[in-house]
Amino acid sequence: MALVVVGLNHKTAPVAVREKLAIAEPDLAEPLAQFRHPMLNELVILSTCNRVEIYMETNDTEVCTAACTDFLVTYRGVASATFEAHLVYRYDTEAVRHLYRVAASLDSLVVGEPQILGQVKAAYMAARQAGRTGSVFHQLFDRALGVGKAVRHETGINDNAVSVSYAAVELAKKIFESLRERTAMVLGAGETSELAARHLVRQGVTSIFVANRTHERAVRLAQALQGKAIAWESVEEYLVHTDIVVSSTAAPEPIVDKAMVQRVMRARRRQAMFFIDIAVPRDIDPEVNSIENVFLYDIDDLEHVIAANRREREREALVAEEIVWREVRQFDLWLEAQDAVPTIVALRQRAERIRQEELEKALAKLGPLDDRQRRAIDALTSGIVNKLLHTPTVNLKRSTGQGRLRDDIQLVRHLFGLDS
Amino acid sequence: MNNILFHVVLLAYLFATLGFWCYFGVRQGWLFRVAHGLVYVGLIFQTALLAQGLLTPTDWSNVSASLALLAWAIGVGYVAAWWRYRMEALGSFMIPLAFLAVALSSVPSASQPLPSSLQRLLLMVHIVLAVLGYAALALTFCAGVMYLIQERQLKSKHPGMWSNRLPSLWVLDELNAKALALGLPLLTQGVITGSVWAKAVRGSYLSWSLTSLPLLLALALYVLLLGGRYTLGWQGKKAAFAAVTGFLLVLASYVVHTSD
Repeated sequence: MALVVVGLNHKTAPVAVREKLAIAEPDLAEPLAQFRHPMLNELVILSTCNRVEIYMETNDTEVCTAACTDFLVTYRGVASATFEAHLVYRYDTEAVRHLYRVAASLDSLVVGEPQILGQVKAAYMAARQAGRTGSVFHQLFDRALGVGKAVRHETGINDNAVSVSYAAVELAKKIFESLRERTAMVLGAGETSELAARHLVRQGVTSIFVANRTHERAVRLAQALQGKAIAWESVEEYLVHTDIVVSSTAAPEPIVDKAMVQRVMRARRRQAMFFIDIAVPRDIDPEVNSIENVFLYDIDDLEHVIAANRREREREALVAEEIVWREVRQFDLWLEAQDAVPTIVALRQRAERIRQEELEKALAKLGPLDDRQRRAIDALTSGIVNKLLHTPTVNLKRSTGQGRLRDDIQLVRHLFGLDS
Repeated sequence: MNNILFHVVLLAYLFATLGFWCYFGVRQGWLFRVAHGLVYVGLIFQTALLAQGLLTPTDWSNVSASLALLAWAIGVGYVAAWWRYRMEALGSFMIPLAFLAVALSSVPSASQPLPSSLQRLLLMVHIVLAVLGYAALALTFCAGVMYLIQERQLKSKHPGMWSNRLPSLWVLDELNAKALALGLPLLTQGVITGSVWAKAVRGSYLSWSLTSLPLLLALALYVLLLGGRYTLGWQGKKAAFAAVTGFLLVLASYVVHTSD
């Protein structure tokens, strides 16, 4: 009874290789049913845009890993040479640690990204439904999902997470300045397309075309976005009026090729276009990027942009933290200092009252005085009072910085009987 | 007095340039504010210098004066573009040009003796129009350079430091178009008045020699660019390229033109 995970991810294989092995979620049932071996007990296949990983519980890991590679070759129809160099094998504890890290999004290119947890759960559920999981994997994947949740709740890991949609919008702004009044097209009516499209709408995109192989789904998404559903066949026609294209279909081959985009660009008089291809396998021929005034970013490109941005943002975040800490401290001090004011005021009021009383008595005893003499005595008494109070007032205000404000306030109030 | 003013302007533009370049690198807000302020300082003092020149009988026909005027026009162009577009990156590209123009204007040059005041007026009009045209075209040049850099970054799929600091392609393209619409007519009028003046002074409208070739090429390119934007689809990268090439041709023609 041993655990092994065989697979490749964005760190070990470029998207061109990953897309050859990728299996869309609805299609998982077939390979789950087909991949069998006498030594293989439990099986889960995890296939996302960033990784293709096969988790196995076996009685003989060597035999099963070989069988796994063979299965991928026959099932996907690719030569083993194309992907074998990119495969990573992890056994037992390492396999468990890997799965937990994946579920916690620590192995993602964008650490903290939220989708992976759901993807792990979906892969596990699919395997469970196909009857390929047993007691070991039930425990393993249950715990993995728990770890993922805990990490998300107890750390700030997804505070810095930036979604692919966000990166795409930032790039679009670098091309078009503002997305208002721009036209977008969504190819594929799935969840990822919808997410990206909603993001674009929020940024001000005013007209959206939606195209999907099954027209009904396009209609549904178009309604949700207040856009227009178009026939799959009219995509090229509408592309002429589109500035931004988001593509996320399950098509195994590219649906937009270079020749098509060249025709579209000519009809558009070469106005800029931005293609966002978040599908794996890719929907848009990479050669499209070489066309003038056309920009094409696939999933890898977007995630590299995110990673680069995050590094710069992390650096700035540290500085901001420093500033914030300093400002909070400053405000605390000021707030504390405000506590001193009532006491100072009370002290001055007491002093002033005493001065007035004594002044009256003295003036009564002195008899008639002219204005100048009266003012002189007033100034004398004020001067003495102010000078006496000056030092304690200043020191009281200063003691906020020395952390002794409360004690000093209490002392002053006690000594001068300000509370009686 | 003149000398001091001149040096203030020179230093103002020099430090503004350095300030903009440093800001481009390290993004400290105060660097930009200082550099931007220095541009205003330089511009004000330069205006004073030029006003002084207007009051005293200055010979506007010499190259020095026209270079000084060019520097002033570039400064004004920068300020105008700032008010309209608020491009923080523009200063790094435009103000070095202004500085160069001021620096070069200190090189003494020969003056043309002009018998009649009409000729002098014509020459002045020609220079003013041409210089204003050059300044607007300098804007298109800077917009074009920035566009090409930004486009390269975005195409490479690894947009880095430059991409963050430069404006969007659309804004740069628009600046290119608007500045061209302003600059081309001005330059053309400048060329026309120059020809009229040449006819009055030398007897022929244009000397069809190698010296006028760069200018004609530049004019042709700009006209093509202006008209071709919508008809030929000469927008975006092509427009940026054309703007850069056109301005280099214009510079070449200026050098040739003022050296004979």
